[in-house]
Amino acid sequence: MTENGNPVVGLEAQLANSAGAEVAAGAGPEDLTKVTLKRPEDPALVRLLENKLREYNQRIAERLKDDAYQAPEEADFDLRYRVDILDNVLGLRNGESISVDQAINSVRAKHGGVFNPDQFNNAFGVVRNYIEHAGQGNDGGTGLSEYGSAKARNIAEAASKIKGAAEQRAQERQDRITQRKGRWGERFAKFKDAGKKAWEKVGQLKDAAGNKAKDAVRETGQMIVDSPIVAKVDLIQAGARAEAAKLGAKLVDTADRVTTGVAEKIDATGMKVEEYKAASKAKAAEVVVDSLRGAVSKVRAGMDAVDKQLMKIDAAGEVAEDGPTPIVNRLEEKAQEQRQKQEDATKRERSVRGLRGWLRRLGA
Amino acid sequence: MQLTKTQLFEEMRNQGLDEETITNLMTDFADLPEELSQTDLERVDSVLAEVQGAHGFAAFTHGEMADALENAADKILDAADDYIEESAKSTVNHVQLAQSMLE
Repeated sequence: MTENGNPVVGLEAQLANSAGAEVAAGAGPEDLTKVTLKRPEDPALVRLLENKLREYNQRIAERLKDDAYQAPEEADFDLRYRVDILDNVLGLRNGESISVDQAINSVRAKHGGVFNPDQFNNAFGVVRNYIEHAGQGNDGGTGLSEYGSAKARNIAEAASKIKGAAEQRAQERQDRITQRKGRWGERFAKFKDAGKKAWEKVGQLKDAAGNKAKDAVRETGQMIVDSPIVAKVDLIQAGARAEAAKLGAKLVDTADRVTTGVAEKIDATGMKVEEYKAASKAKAAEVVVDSLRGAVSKVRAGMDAVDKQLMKIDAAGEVAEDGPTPIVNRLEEKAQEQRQKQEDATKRERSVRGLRGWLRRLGA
Repeated sequence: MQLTKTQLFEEMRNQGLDEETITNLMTDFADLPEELSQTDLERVDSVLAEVQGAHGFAAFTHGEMADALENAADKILDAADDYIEESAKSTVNHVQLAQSMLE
């Protein structure tokens, strides 16, 4: 089974004089002395390349098993070069790259100065294709079976989009909450102002009706009594206040139910964390779970604090001017803390994954 | 290639692992020799797999808590919007009733 790394056909000629001349197939002249390889940013592709490296190492081991005494010059340098180039690339960090010259020096050093330009040419092309085009330009070979298929590429792209979309959604949700909070304040102020003015007008009409009734009483010389209409309007106003108090209580009750629901969810999360901790053996893992346990307790305590500052209703049954804002602020603040911790944990997970990949590349 | 403990911890820093995790891993690997055998490396990988899993679990759990808190904020704002709407309707009804009696 062979693979031809088409994009660097003609490299041999350049290697001979170590200065660039030719050609990537079908792409016009390309100065290969300027070609550099970087570690792919897509973690899915990196994982597949790590698998590919393992596959190459297994192939070498298989060949040596068949003929343990084969002389190095008879060995498949192409395969060994691919291992070396791929290993070097996967060992690169962000911002680092490896040039053709560096790759040549590396394989020379590994193979006691023996160098086969033809086989290096193909090996470099194959690896470059894997890195830059997920192996799409290679003829034959086992390829990057998962990544190479359209389905797998779509999955990898979708995973990347999902990650980006999730971050964007979290940000959008945060922005939406902030905007809604601001808009609620404006709407509430407007509603309060309009309500106040409407009742003031009712008050003026009531005064006028009261005065009219008093005048009528004076004219007739009868005993002054409250206007029956004013008394009815007073009842309507009392009813309005009762209704406002009821609506305020309903809001507080809903907020209470929501925060209680969160508290219950956090309690359930705490149980899962305890179970996870019980199954942890490594000290470093236990510390991570302990820290998580602390965070869960803090959020839970925060929910108790939120409950204590539930929206206030005054004696007249009105919701305080800032309404749900203090609670929403508190929830937002806690959510942001958790988002930050989520990001930190994700970075650490990625670092440990990178470390394990490094160990695997060393053959551990 | 023979790997040493020193190289392992250097690579932890190179991979951007935080000092706290590195210090804790030092405890886990305290009894390992400087020159790491294949068996030692298997143990290292097994511990790292557990630590990786713990960080993954932590990331998931923090995310779940953040979601729950944000959802709660959204629901409370929904209820607060409903409160304004219902209060406005109630005020209008009561004011109109009062005005109709007075005018």
